[in-house]
Amino acid sequence: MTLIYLLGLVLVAAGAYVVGRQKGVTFAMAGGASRMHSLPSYHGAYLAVSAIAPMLLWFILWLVLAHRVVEWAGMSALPADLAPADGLAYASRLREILLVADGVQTNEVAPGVRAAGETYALWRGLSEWALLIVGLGLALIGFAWGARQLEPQFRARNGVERFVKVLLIACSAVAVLTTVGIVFSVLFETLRFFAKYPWYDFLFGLQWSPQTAIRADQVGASGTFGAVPLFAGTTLIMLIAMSVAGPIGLFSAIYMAEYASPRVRGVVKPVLEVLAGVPTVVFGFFAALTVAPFIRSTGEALGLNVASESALAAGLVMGVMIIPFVSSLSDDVINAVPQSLRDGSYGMGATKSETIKKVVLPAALPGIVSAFMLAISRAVGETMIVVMAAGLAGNLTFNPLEAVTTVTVQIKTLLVGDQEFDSAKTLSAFALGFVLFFFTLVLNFIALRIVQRYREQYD
Amino acid sequence: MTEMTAVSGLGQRVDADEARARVRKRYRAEARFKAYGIGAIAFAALFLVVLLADIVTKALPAFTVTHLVIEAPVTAETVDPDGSRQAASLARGDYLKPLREVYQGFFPEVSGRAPRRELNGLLSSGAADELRAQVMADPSLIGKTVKTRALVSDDADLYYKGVVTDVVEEPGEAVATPSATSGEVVVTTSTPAFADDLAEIKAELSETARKRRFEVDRIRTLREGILADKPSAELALREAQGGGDATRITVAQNVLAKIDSDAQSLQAQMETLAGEAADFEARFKDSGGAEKLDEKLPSRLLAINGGIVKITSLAADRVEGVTLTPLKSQDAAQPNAWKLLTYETPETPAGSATSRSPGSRR
Amino acid sequence: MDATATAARPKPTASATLPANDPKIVAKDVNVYYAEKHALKDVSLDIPERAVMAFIGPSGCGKSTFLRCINRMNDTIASCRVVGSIKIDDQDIYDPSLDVVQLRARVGMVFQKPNPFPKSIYENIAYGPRIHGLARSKAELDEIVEQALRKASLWNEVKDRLQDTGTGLSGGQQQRLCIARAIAVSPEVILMDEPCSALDPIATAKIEELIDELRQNFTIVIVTHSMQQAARVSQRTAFFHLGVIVETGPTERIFTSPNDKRTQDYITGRFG
Repeated sequence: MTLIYLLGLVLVAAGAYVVGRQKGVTFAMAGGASRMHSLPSYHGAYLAVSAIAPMLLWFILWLVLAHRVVEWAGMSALPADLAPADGLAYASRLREILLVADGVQTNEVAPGVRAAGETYALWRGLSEWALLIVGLGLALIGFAWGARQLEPQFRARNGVERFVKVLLIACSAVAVLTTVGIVFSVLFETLRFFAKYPWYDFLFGLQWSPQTAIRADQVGASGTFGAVPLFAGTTLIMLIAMSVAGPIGLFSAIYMAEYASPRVRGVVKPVLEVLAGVPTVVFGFFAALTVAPFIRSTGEALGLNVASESALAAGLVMGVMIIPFVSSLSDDVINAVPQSLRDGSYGMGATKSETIKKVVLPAALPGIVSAFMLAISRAVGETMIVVMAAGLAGNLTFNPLEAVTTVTVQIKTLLVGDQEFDSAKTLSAFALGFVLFFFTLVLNFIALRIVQRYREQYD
Repeated sequence: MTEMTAVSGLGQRVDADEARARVRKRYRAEARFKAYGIGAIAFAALFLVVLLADIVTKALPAFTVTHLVIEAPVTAETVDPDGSRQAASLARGDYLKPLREVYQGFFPEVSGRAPRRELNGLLSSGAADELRAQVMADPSLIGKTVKTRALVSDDADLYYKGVVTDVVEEPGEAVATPSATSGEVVVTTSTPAFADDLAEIKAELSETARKRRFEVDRIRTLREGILADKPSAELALREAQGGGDATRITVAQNVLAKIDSDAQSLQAQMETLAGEAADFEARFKDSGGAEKLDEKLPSRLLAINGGIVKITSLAADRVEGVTLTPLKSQDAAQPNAWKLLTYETPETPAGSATSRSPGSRR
Repeated sequence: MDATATAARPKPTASATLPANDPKIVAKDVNVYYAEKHALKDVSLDIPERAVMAFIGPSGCGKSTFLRCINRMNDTIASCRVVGSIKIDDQDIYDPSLDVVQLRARVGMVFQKPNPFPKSIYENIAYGPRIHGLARSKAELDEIVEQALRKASLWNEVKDRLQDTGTGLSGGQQQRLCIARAIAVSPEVILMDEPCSALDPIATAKIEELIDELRQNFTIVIVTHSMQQAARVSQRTAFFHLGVIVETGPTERIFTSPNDKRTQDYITGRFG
């Protein structure tokens, strides 16, 4: 039914457009185009908008309200003895009603439920017809209202522009509200977690072992959520990754922007970007099955004690993965440095590298810093490589040869598996997510501010 | 540019040689800087190549399977339980049985339930799929001997792909004489042909012991690190008890319990490993004639007179072992007519208490 | 003028006083190609020492291209090819053994749009002396910076804010900063590519005044769109048209009695 409705919406829009445009053309023929405020096509668009705007609003209203009304109708048709007592019973009763309404499994339910299911089906049918009929009626009213306004002097263009503006605001509002919704849902779960577990022990505790007892009498089951080892592990891996991606990405960018011929650049840039296109799972098993054993055997040959899952392996591979983030963005900002600055430096007798080091890089520094920030937030948010190559052990160590774990890996570990949703273990994932979100938010904020300053300098 | 005036500051002039030296230095810096750029790109490209090559080489064997080509007699009783030659009946037939019978015929020396089962385990459970398809496509094959391909089990497949272990072959250097053709066999050589191997085993013993000690050290550090947190955890517990906050008391107790249990299990692991290490060290130091080979060391097999002997004890000029496939004769074998095979991966990994033999997995 | 006639001339020193029309730069049959485009055709020109030479001509006539040949700035353009010889003090600057870095220290350049580096005023001036290693101590560098700023008549305006960023100055000050930056390495020649085109009349007047003063110590070549400016600041003028030099001579004569019809047309404003 919704499909028919949307199809109808398109047809109404097209029809109204044609009618409005025709009317505009008539005005133009009668009075000359110069006397008209707006072009005939704007008259058409205006009429189309006045017809479909109420239809759209009605559709949204219907989407929000209709199923509630239908559900309420079905539920109130239940006899008193079958009325659900709590949320769980309500859900299961509703499932039964739905089955009846859909015509399945009709012989296993109580007659009361069957009656309710039939009521439900009836109301559902009614609501769908209501959608169509009310929608078309509103379209007609809107159309008539719009058509009455049309005259040669009518400012149809302004009306259409206003509608487009409202539409754009509505679209961006959806994006913003979604983000706000996510933040708040994470925030509320985090607060629930802090109600079960003190926040200072979470932020400053040195012991991470989130095994909550499933039964009260279970032996050895303890849950401590000191997140410092995770922060340390995340920082360690991020530092290793950035010490790979930073210099390599930056030098690649410099070479591509300043030295490479267009042909070399045309080959190298896509090749580097392939690195960003490799799925992280592939990087993950490459880190776990090739790099980690290599590091382990090399370390042992040197007499070092290397864990088979090491922060170094994960960090190295992650570093390679984020090279393109650093190099592409840095390449862009280096190219954005005005040629006149380079000319000035060359004109002083500076060599290319002197020009780059002393003029181009300082001028591009804000952009490069923001490229690094983005790479860091990517490294901090990366999960798959660390899951596969760095292990799950919450060791509090800064030795890159040991297994460590990161915030993202723990979030994944905590949420996989059968846990009660309101256990401290599950909720702690939200607290970790919130910390992560906050950290990347701060990073992005810094990057944005730096980029703004950079823009001011050259515009 | 010999006549060129040197670059000068305001007022004073700079020596021309000095200026030239400076320019040379600047050009070296320039070349170095450019090389960093090329190096960075080369590293990234190399990594990409290694990544792709690694994935491709690791992935390619997965697209192949190992078959055993077997000519099996297909009889009506086994493959056509109803005798109707209809698809429904043929589909219920037992095609694995004729394959297994032929296959077991290759190894007459394998007897007894457990070894037999282990031998059968080397054939895949889907080994008969191809034979079934052949027969169902052409029922006239019933009663004939059909040449078919039997899929081997995944363990055997991996072994053939060289994933399970590296195998080193050394040709025999002396005349070797076996004492029997089956069961427990002693092979003596005219010269100390196994002296090198003995030294190698000693080296392996010492290396394995070193690795075990290494592991012990690692675990010890880990355990000490965990125990180092104990005083602060105890303090936290006392403070929590003082404060009377039930949540914090539970948390602190949990931390303590976790520390203790972790330390305990690490202690146990350490003891096992240290025991193994001590054992290996003792065997390394023991300069007696023969060295026992067990499942914690690389396996060594002797291929001689058409049979295979699994070595259990090795001395410079004499090995003891059990036959895996019987020898054809007890004759002395000439140099190069026999060989020693070393399977580099031991049957049992470090620290595990139970022994496993290949094929008994799953 | 014959290039070899100047070969025996002693090297310039600060105290030497030489006739203003002694050739410092001698260009012979210079041809420049940008990929397929033939931008300069058989340009031959003598540029006198310690004088201002102006290049005038309509847009795209090759005057800037020729200017950029004199300190080999065209090297940075991959598709550009230069044929012919340009000699400074009798030494061919396109000789492969000549080092472009050292050449540019002798031949400074000021660009159309002021392009101070995004650094402090002090660091802008100190840039050249630092890369060429001209100062052995901080005090010496301070001295070089002060002298350069004084010569560019900027010292009094910026002496109290040497650590402020150079991009914060006004357009005219920025351009004088760029001139100061160029003279900080004590070049022999300063090339100016329409240095006043982005400036207001007052700033332009200051720069022109400065150019007139600098003529005492430097050989100056200036490309300009403004014929009044050429008349005000230069002693000699060359008129470029469609990649060739139509006419060259003392500025006064070019503007009062040009020999060529095209020059006449240009200076009277018929085209350009």
